[in-house]
Amino acid sequence: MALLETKKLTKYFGGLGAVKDVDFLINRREIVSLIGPNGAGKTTFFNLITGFFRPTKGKIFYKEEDITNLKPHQLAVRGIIRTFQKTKVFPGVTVLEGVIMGSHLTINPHILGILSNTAATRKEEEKVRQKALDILNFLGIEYRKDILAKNLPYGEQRILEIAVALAADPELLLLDEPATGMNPEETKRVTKLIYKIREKGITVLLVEHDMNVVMGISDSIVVLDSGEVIARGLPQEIRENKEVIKAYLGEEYTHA
Amino acid sequence: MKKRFSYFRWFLFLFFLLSVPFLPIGNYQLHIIIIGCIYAVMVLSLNLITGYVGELSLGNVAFFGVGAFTSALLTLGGVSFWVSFLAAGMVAGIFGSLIGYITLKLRGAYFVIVTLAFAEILRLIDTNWTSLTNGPMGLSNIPLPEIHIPYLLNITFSDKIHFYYLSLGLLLLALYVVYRLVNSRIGRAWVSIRENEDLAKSIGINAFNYALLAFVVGAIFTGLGGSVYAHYMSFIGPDVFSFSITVSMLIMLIMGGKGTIIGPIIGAFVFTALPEYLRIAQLYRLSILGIILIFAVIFLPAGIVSMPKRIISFIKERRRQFGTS
Amino acid sequence: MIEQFLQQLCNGLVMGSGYALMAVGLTMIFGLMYVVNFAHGELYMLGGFFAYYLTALFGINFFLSLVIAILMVMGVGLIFEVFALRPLREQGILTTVLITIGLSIFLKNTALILWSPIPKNMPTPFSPIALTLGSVYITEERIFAIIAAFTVIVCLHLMLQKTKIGKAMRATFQNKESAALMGVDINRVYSFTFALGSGLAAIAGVLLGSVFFVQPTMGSLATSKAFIVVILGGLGSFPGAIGGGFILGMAESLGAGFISTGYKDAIGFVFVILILLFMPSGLFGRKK
Repeated sequence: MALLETKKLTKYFGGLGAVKDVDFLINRREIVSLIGPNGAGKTTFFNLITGFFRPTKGKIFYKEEDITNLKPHQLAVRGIIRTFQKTKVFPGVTVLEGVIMGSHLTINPHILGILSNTAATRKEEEKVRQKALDILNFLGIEYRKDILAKNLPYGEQRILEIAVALAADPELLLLDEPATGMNPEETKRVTKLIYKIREKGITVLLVEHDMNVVMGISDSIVVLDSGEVIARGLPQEIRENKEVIKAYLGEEYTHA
Repeated sequence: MKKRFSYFRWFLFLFFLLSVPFLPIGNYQLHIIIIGCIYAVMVLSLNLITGYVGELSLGNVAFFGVGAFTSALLTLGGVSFWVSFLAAGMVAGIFGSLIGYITLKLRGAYFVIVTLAFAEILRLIDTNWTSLTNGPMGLSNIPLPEIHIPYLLNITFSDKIHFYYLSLGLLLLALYVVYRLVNSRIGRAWVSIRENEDLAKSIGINAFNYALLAFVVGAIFTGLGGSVYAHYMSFIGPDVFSFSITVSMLIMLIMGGKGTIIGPIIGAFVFTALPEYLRIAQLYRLSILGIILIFAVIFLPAGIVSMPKRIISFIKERRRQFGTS
Repeated sequence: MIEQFLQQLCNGLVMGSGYALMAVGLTMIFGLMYVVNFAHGELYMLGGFFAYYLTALFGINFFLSLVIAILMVMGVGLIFEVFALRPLREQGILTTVLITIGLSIFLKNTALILWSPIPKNMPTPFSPIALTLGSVYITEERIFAIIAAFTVIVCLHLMLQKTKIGKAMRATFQNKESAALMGVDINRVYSFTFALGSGLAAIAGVLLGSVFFVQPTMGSLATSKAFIVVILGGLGSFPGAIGGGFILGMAESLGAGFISTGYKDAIGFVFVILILLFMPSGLFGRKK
C-alpha cells in the first residue's frame, strides 16, 4: 500500500493550469524528490496535498483514505507535516518554545487536568519539553535554544523549521526547498539530516533545486514541467532522460 | 519565565489582599479598587483574543453589557444573585460563541470592524427595546447580593467591603484560569496563531477552534464582571455597551502590556486610578487620554511591563559603550 | 404613498452623497495603506467646524470657506500621517487602529471643550425656502450638496485616471512592491492618499454640516456609517464605496420613513453582518 497517492490531481487558477492530471505515489520510508523548472507547479502540488489549496479536480489518498478536501490541521493529525518554501517560524518566541509548540498534537491533556494542574498534566509538559531538547540536539542547534527565532541566521531558521516539523511526529515529512539559500557546508548538514530522519522511519518528500542533493539522496525522482509529470524514476534514469534535459535547457539553476 | 514563589509568600500576599479593606484607606479609594478589579477581569479577558491570539476585538464590551443586564433582569425577577451571576457568565458565553463563530472566520481589519458592529448593534437594541431594558432610562434598584445559610450566615452586600471581596474573588478566579490556560498547550496554540497562523495549521492546530475558545472564555469572564458591576452600582443603562468602555479597555491593555498576565492587571488599576486622580484636569481628561494612547503606541508598544526590561537593556547598552574605553 | 417614497428617496440622496464621500476617502486609505482610520469621522467633523467658523465668525464667503476648510483638514491629515502613521507603518493593523482611535478621542474631546456640545447652524448663501420638484420638497442647500458631491467624485475619478499622482496611487494600490520598483515614491503616495482621504471627509462634513448642523460628536456616527458603507461596497473598492454610500443613504431614509426612526441606525449594522456572513468581499469588492 502506498503511503500517499494522488490520482489525476489538478489545480487551475482562473485559466492557468498550475497542476494538471498528476498521478503520484510515494511508499513508506522512501525519499522522493520532486523537481522541475521554476513555475512547474511543485509548490502548488505541495499546497494541494497539505490542504492549503483545494484541488480543481482529482483525488488524494493517504493510507487508502481519501484526504482530498481536508484542511491542513486535519492532515497534520494524520501525520502529514510540511515545511514552507518561504521560511516560516514563530518569530517572537524562543527556539525551544517554538519546537515545543510543534509537539502540540503529540499530547492531549484534559481541560480539567490543565485547570487543576494535575501531576499527569505536568508530566506531559515535561515530556514535551524533553523531546524538544532532544530534537534540537538531534539537529545540532541545541545551543540556540533560548534565542528568539527571529534573531537566528537564515540557515539556522531553516533547521528550526525542520525541528518544529519533527516535533509534530510526522509519518510523511514534506520539505519545500530545504537547501535553498544555503552554503555548501549547510547543505551537507541538511542532507545528512534527511538521511537521519529517514532512519527514524519517516518518509520524506522534498522539492529541491540543488541537483547534487537531489541526485545523491533520492530513492526516486519525479519531474514536473508546466504542471505535468514528464518523467519519473531512479536518479540515474532521470539524469539521462531527454525530456528532462529539454525542460531544463536554458534554465540556470543555482544553489545557494 | 515562571517564577516559583514559595507557598508561604503566596499565603502572605493573599492575607494582605484580604485585609485591604481594614487598612486606613477611604471609601473612595475602595471604590476605585473595586472598579479596578472589574476592569482587570475584563482586560484579562480581552487579552486572550487580542494579546495572545493576536486579533483585535472591539466587541468585548457587548459581553459586559449582556452580563450586566442578564444579572440585573434575573435578580429583579426574583432570582437569587448567585444563580443570576452564573447565568450572566453563561449567557455572555453563548453570545461569545455565536458572535465568535461568525466573526472569527475573518481576520485583521475585518474582524476589528465586525466585532465593533456587533457591539454597536447590541447597544442599539438595548437603547430601543425599552420594554425589556427600559432604554435610556436603564434599570435601577438592582438587588444586592445576599448569602443566607441557616444558622450560620446572613449577609446582604450592603457595604463596599462586600463588593471588594466579591470583585477580588472574581479577579483571582479569572487570574487563575488565565494563568493555567496560558501556560498550557492551549496557550501555546494561541500564541502560535498570532506568531504564524499557516505554520500553526501545518502542525495540527485548528486555528478557528482555538481562537473561538479564547474569545468565549474571555466573553464568560467579561459577562461575570458585568454582573458584579450591575449589582455594585445598582443601576445600569445603555452606557454598559458604550464605546468608551472599549477605549478604556484598549488603553489598559496596551499600556499595561498585551500578551502578558500581569500587564492587563497593572493597566487596569493604573488607568482606573489615574483619571480619578486627574480630576483637576477633568475637563481635559479625555483629550489627554487620546494623546496618551498615541504616545503609548509609538513609544511603549509592549506596555508598562516591558519597562524594566527596556531600562535594563538600556543600561547594559550604555555600559557596553563606555566600558571598553 | 408614492410621494412619501420619492421624498424619502430624495432625502436619502443627500445622506447618500455624504456617505459616499466619506466612504471613498476611507476605502482609499484602507485599500492603499492598509490603515483602518478610526479618526475619519473626526476629520469630517473638523471640516464642518472649520467651515462654520470661517463663515460665521469671519464672515468669509461660503464657497471660499469650503475650500479653506478642506485644505486645513488635509493639512491635519498630512501632519498626522507623517508624524504618527509613517513611523509605525510596519507594525501591523493593531497598532494603526489604536493610534487612529487615539487621534479620534483627542480630536473629539478637544472639540467638545473648545466648541461646546451645542449644535450650531452654518450660515449659507442658499434660500431656506424649499423648492418643489413635482411632489418632492427639497432645499437649495441639499441640491448643492448632491451636485457638489457628484462633482467631487467625478473629479476624483479623473484625477486617478489622468494625473501622474493618480496613476502612482493606482499602481501602489495594485502592488506596493512593484510600484516601488518602478520608481514610485511610496512615502509621497501615502501622505497624499491620507491627505486626500481627509479632504474628502472634510467636504462631506461641510456639505452635510450645512444641510443639518455641526456638533463635536457628529464624527462618531459618521465613522460608523463610513465603515458600514466600506464593508458593504467592499474594502478597497471605489465604485463600491460610492454605490454603497447611496444604497445605505436611501435604505436608511426609506427605513426611517416606513419602519421606525429608532432602529434606523441599526439597518446599516445589519447590512454589515449579512454582508460579512455571505459576501465578505462586499458587493463590489475584489477577493483578497
